[in-house]
Amino acid sequence: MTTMAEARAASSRQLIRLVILKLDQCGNEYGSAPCTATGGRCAYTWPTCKDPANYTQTTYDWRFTNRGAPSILGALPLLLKFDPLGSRILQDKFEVSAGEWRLKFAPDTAAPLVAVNKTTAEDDVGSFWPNLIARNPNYQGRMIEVYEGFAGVAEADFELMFAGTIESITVSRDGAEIMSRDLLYKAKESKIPPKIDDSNTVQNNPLAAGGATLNLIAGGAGAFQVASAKHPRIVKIEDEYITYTGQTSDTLTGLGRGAYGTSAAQHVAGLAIAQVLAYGNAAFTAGIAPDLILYDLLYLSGIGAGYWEVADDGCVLNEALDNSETAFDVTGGNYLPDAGVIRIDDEWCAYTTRTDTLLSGIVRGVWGTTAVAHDTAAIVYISTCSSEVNRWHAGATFRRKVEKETSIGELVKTLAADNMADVFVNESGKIAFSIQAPPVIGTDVSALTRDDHWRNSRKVNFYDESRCTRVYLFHSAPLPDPGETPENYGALRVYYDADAEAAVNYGKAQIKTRYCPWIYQAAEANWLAVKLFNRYKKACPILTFSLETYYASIRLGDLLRLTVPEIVGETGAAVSKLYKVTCRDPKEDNEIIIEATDTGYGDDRYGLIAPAMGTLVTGIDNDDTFIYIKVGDAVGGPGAGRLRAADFRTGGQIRIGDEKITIGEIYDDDVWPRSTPKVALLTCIRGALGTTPDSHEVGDQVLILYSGASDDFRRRYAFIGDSDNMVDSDGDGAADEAGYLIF
Amino acid sequence: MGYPRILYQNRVPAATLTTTGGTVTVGHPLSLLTTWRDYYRAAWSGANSYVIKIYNGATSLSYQSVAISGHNLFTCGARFKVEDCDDDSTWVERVAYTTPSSNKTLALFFTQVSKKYTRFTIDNNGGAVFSPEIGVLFVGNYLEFPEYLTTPFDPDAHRINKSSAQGDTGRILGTTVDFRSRTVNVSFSYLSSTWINATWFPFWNAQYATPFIFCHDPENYAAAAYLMEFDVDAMSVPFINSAWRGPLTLVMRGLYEEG
Repeated sequence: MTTMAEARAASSRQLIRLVILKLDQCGNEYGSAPCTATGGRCAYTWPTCKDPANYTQTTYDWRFTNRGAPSILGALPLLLKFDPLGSRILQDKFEVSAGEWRLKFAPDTAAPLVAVNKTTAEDDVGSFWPNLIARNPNYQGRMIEVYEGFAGVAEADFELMFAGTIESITVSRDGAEIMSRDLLYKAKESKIPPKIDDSNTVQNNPLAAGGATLNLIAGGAGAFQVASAKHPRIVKIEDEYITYTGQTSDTLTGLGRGAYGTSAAQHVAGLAIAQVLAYGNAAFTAGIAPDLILYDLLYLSGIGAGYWEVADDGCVLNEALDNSETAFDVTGGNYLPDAGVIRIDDEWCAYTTRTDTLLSGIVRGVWGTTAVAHDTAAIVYISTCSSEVNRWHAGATFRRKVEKETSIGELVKTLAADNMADVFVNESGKIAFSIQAPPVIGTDVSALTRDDHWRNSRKVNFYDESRCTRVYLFHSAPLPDPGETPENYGALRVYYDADAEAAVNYGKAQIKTRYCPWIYQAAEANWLAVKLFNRYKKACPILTFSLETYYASIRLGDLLRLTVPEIVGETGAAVSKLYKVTCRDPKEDNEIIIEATDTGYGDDRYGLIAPAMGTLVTGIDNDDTFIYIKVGDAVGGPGAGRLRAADFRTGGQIRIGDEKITIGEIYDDDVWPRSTPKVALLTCIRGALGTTPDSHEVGDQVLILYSGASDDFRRRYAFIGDSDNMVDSDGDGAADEAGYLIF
Repeated sequence: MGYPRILYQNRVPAATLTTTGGTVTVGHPLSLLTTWRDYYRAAWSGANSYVIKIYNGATSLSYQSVAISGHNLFTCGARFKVEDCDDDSTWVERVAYTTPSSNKTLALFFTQVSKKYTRFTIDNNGGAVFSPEIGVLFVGNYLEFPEYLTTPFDPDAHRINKSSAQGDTGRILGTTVDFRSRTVNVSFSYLSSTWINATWFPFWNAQYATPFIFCHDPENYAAAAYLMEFDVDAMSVPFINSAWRGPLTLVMRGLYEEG
């Protein structure tokens, strides 16, 4: 068989689009236990069911291919055309439009049987699409998936290019048209907290301050969010927030009184009960990690954990697990955050502590998944939110109360914006979280020019409105639901670039105002303000072009290095720049339209990041491969306030003078007590990255470049500087030492 | 050159179908053989020999051809034979084991017989377990035109729906093929009025909206069989004189089968 990559690289290939509609179907056989139906016709759907008491909900995949596709068993070749409108990320506004696909299908006579996968099924008559809709009127909101493949490629290797929900189906003489939107639209349409009817009041007489059960009107619990011990939900009575962990038809149980910084009090019968939302620690004195918030919001929107993107950061189980263990032996734990959200097989878990070899404090089977056994060596996937926050924003926490009914999409959007992140549905149909940051070393960045499989250069929008000369950042809202009203926030952080605003320069203030309802403390506000300011102090042009199917593997969110004649430097020569794919529209005629946004990162990934640097212990000639570096003075313990061997990365680069040097082996000569702690770099490669080997003197400064810094070192020093290249070396939120910003 | 034939009067849709050997794949029951659509396929697995029995009922029915379409017997390395009888016991071989040389439509002809039972036996000559699929199974008669096709005639004419592009810099980029569809234009300059009235019109009235298998010259191009339908909104056979009519022009369309 051919691989997808081989097919795309071929000069000619036959395209296959495989569309799957996942519609409801009963898992029983008509008339066989547990189904007791007799006589009447049944199409194995709820509306046609003759024994609703025993209806068993499952899913049947209705499969379709394009007309001329080679036969795929069970797929109907009815797909005539599709009209995709891809999801579009507008990075500077932290807005993501939901993808919308329209698919047109040919008419057909009815399928031979009303349910071809059932042993007992009636013969079918009439037309396919009217019959399908008549039997499946509950199609709205059901999943649709579109795969791309080629003749000669195994179906299992086809690549998912869109996953969304069915919004509408139009049937006509010419067939059917299905309109589908991606999952973010579902989040936008979902609103929380639910409004509780005025009649659903406190039925206790009264609810005592220590009461553990809240009585509701008959059947009233159905109006409230479903809670569990893993996922308590919250109601508000008068000023008190009360958590609950269970419910019957007319009670909320397992009450936690005086939650989220409120006081437990007695409430008389007849008082109104409101459903509310709160994220923070139990006393609401601190926040929680954004991953715990994001995935809970997605869960509440009905977007299941199967649609959340994960990353493989190199951690695997080092033991087999049963379904109850709460401490996992692992290898590669050092690649994971101190706390985070992980997935093993289909089970999602949250952990609170980790070492290199152990994850502990684990809550199993969260957000609708089930705790099950896992084999040793199973991959411990980290959620993209946990991974990204760990990489760029480790330790950040957020806090918020929501009392007014709000779109979950809006809550997700503001959370993403407060983390300077894009949240979007990728082509795998998974919701991904990506902080607007440079590529990490090892990221696969495709380099393209117009000489590649480039079909058309369409336009460049220089997008000056994305530029800002000052940032107004409102945060620390003292009350719920602050919205975009400045008075509702307790703090304002302002950054501005006086040089840019000078009359001889840009000549005006271009203000980027952000309302940050999730940020409650200065550290996160500083971090965001600095990042926003530096990211957008130059406009980020958007380049639109189209590629041939060869490049169909380029996906939303990917980074591309592009060199095009529309983007030139002062000399008029084309400038190679790093772009992020912010929209991707596959068209039918062998064309993929790409919108790519300038990241502004340039070559900064080789930038310096350390506030403290080393010096050469001995001079070196231009061909020496042994470099001996003094990394601190004999004060304090090992690693305190100075570089350590663990801060360097093999294969990355340091800089001495104008020369860049690739690090070979790293030897730690920092044995305490020692008069002058040192690090030795062996088997180095001189004159790296286009520089020229040169001799250097004793005492010359050795600078770690971003590429040569370890993960921990990057976490400590990258992205915490301000616009004057001052970095927050001690993590107190104030930029106080000279360093180098990544952007 | 031989006379063209159109296979029709398929006995399978109205027959009682049973199968033995292996397991019928869930979602691909035997009843899908009756649809005339190659993408609704019956499928089996778990054996190295499968039998499909077609029972026409108490009355024997005539047939003089069999055909399969939308199958994977070539890919499976399988072969098939056809037998028939009137008593569900004394089977007489009608078509000896035949090994398809491709997965394309295959039609076979023989002297007309009238039987109650017909059975297909599919095996791979004692080879390993295999999983056959068949979309269209035909057991029936054929219409043979009494005249040769008007030349020039091209049975291989087809339309290619593809997209190829040239880049900004003039480079020829890849080509993506959506599909190829076969369109066959058939014309007879003249046909006898007797044949038109006695044979053509009954055929046309029964067949104009139903797929069929077309063989333009079974004598010389036995492998050229196509699953087609008529692509016309009207039909006309003008009078030439009282004895002859023509031309009869037919446009047929179908999938351009590959592999």
